[in-house]
Amino acid sequence: MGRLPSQRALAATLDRCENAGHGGHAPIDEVKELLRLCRDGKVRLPEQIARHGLRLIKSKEAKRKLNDSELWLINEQVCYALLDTGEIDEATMIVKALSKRFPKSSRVLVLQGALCECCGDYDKAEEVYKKILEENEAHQGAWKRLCCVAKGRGDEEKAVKTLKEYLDVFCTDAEAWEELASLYLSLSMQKQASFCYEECVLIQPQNPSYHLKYADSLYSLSTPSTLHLARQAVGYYSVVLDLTNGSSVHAKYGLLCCLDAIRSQGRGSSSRLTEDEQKLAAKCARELEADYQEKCPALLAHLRATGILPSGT
Amino acid sequence: MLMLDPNVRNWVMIPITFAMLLIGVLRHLVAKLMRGSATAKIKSIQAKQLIQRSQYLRAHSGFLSRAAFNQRKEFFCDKEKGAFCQKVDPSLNPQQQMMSDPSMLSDMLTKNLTMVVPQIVTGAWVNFFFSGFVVAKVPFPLTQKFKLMLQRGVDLSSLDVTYISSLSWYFLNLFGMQGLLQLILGEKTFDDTQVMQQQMSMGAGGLDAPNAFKAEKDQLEMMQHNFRVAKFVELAAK
Repeated sequence: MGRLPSQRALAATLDRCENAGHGGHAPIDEVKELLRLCRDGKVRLPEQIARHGLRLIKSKEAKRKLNDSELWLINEQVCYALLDTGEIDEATMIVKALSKRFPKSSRVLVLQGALCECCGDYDKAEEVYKKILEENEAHQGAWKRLCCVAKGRGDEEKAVKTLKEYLDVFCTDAEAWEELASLYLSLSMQKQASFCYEECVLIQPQNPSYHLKYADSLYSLSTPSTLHLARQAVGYYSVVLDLTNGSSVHAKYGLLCCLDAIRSQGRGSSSRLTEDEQKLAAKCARELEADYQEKCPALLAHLRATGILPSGT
Repeated sequence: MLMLDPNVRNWVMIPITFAMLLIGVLRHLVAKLMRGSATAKIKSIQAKQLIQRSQYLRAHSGFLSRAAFNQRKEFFCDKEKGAFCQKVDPSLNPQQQMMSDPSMLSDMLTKNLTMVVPQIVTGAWVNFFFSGFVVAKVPFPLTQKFKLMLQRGVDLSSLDVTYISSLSWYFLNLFGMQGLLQLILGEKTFDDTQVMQQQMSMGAGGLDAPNAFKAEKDQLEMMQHNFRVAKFVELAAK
């Protein structure tokens, strides 16, 4: 798969930062560029950002070179990275500095909440997020974090409730629908989950992962009496193959499973595969076998043992 | 050749420039102070998102099975419970909003105040104290058309175009100071042209929810659904 120019730039800068000379200290300009690229592309590289960014914040040279607003942006970014890697002491220090500089900012409040969450103090975190929502009832970040707090406590039903309230307002947020679907799945509510994946597909039909997940949920919903769901799943797996130029192994496995289910569980006319479906099954089996032959011949026997490959290939 | 008195430079040109610069900085600071946090109302966000969702549904309905599509159509268009058939809060209509919510008007007023008032005051100040001075000369030749721009307030047909009158100097400062201000204050200072664009687009920004809902509902009811996913099987089999 070809990479975008921005991805290549990020990879190159990261490489230069990681493999820098003079005792592993990357020059400030490089680190600054790395952090900027990560911010712009919303890339999450917590370990690298935490390591390089922390050094940048502490160095006096950086304070001279960077202008004020960028330095604070970097502070925020590094703080999130530190929370990701679990370095609470350093993060607390940065949050304190940010709170001192921007006492009223809701952005800093979200950061404080995240810090509380990281320490496991969910009550305090909830309080902070509720305070933000009181100020601005349409603060998406705080609302989502509130759902995460519920999830972190293991109270999935409350998380679902919060997320539903959020989606009632922001109903075109595909990532939130995806999260709701996985929450439903953890509660074994397949039907609701597949509704959520339908929404994801509607919002971003160009994203193959949503089609893939929707097809999976359709396949798991299908029973011998509702085989039309498996047939639909075949359709969505084909969409994924179309979007990924036939490179998705997951979709191929899914296709073969669905077709196998239709063939073995269906009664009478419903068990008969159409000509296209037969051709598709043969093609996928061929490609899958070829992939395994090329990349990992040892596992090929296991693939054959699953019994999902159509007989006669 | 016209001899320009150095006193004119010291007491007219430099004071005008200096005053304009100070006012630019001041205006930036005042605007920063007055900029209220624009918190959108949750109701209007919800209305916008609903319309967006219905648009997505219409555009990508081919990826949904008949049952799933009908379920969503019902959600939007059902006569009793449909999202588009609810009685819409009249405050979502921009005209009504203007009447009921004076904060919008006062917002507009403060925005204009920070922009227009300083301009009027400095314009009057220059006009009153410094009218009729010839303050500078452009070092390169210009065509006659520039007379209007460079010699405002000095109506002398025999005066060479390259001379600049005090009032014109004020206008040049007013519009040309942006770059200098950016150097002093950092990026993101107030730009006159940007503010003008904002004022222009303000009318179109508001959402007329009741009418938009009705239009969206009509379109959704009219559209034909066909399930396109089945065709991909054929495509993938090739």
